[in-house]
Amino acid sequence: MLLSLAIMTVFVPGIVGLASNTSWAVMWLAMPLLLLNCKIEMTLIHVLGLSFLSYAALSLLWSPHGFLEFMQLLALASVFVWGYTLKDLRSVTIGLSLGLAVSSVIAILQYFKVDLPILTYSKVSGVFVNPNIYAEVSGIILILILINKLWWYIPVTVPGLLVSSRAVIVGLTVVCLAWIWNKSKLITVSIIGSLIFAASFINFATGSIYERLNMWNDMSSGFNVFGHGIGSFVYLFPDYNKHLDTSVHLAEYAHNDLLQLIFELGIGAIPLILIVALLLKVNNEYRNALIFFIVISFFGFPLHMPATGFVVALVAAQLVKFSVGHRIAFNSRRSVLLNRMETA
Amino acid sequence: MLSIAADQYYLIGWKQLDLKKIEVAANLFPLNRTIALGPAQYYLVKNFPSEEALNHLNKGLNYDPNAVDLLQAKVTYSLMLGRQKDATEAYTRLIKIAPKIAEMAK
Repeated sequence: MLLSLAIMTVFVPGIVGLASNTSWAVMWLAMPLLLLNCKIEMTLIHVLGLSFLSYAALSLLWSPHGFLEFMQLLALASVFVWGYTLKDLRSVTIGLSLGLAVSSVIAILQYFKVDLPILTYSKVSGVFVNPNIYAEVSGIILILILINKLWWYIPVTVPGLLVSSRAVIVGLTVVCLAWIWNKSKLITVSIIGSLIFAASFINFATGSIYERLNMWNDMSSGFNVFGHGIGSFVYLFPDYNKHLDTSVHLAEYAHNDLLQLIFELGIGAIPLILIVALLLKVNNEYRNALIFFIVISFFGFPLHMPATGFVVALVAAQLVKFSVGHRIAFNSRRSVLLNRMETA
Repeated sequence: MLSIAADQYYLIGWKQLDLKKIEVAANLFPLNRTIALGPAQYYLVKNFPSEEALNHLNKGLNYDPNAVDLLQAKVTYSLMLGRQKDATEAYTRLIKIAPKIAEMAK
């Protein structure tokens, strides 16, 4: 709980610099200590994760400056290994919610334009600087709260959700549809139909959407088999850029984690894609958090943000744990049946 | 620990506009692009061309050859210091990676 609380609150721009997110530093310091007492049990997902990390490490050989990003991946991998040993995410969710509560209070003050001595920026974003990141964190924590039935914590997510991030709205809608799909496929299909009909009246052709489509189109010309190396996007994207005004905007992220991973790692991204595909097959409530993460990662860069990265690593660990636990339970049932058949 | 220390030096360095502190930050944690380019960007903010400024801009461009803001500053500073060749070289690179600037130049 303390770790999750720390990850949500240690990055306070004004007290710490905006240059590096100190939440990563917390993970780098805490995870080795937490992993000391962890018994690592290897599963297929662990093996795939290890191969993904190994390729990312290898790609440092040809990446311009990728060590920081590699360290971030290492931190998330450690969180995954640690998360696998947790019984559930209840206390982690409480910690995250309390941390988010701090941001929510700050966000309300920002909304009412209260002068804050520390946080000098004016956007409603808590300590996350970017309102979209604040909304994404609020969205994924809301899902964890609902999964763990911690109803009293729901209000802390409200200010973040009111920021109206389009990716978060789409993400939560998809999660709702996935949930309804399990109840009634007919209702889901009719809702999707209505949404498509309603969407046809909305003008989506805003500047930022065109900007991102152009960016993805430009970066796709830089795809190659082995990738440009972990952490290379910010350094090498300008070589392929044809549309973005880089004299005004620094393209630090591709605003699509999957495309950025393909740009940076090429075939090295396959193990991670396989992990996500396998985890999506696991029939567990935490899958909803993974679905939300996938949707927002199509428009943003949640894998590169410590709070969302931390949460998804834990969610992935819980999904693996459930699938393994499920298999063990199935296997033990089968062995009981076999024993009975043998004795009969 | 180094990243936290560098972050603090970077923050205080920019608050006080103290190049030494920004340089300490860059030396402590050069893995972070923003921190590593801090000294070069200090001269960009100072907006005063000098040999020292050009040296720092070149160091920054060695770290990230595609840093558009540094390239723009290099073009301007080189021209102001009468280094036509350096300015042309930097400008050629700049219009290649910043198409909007090339459009404006046309």
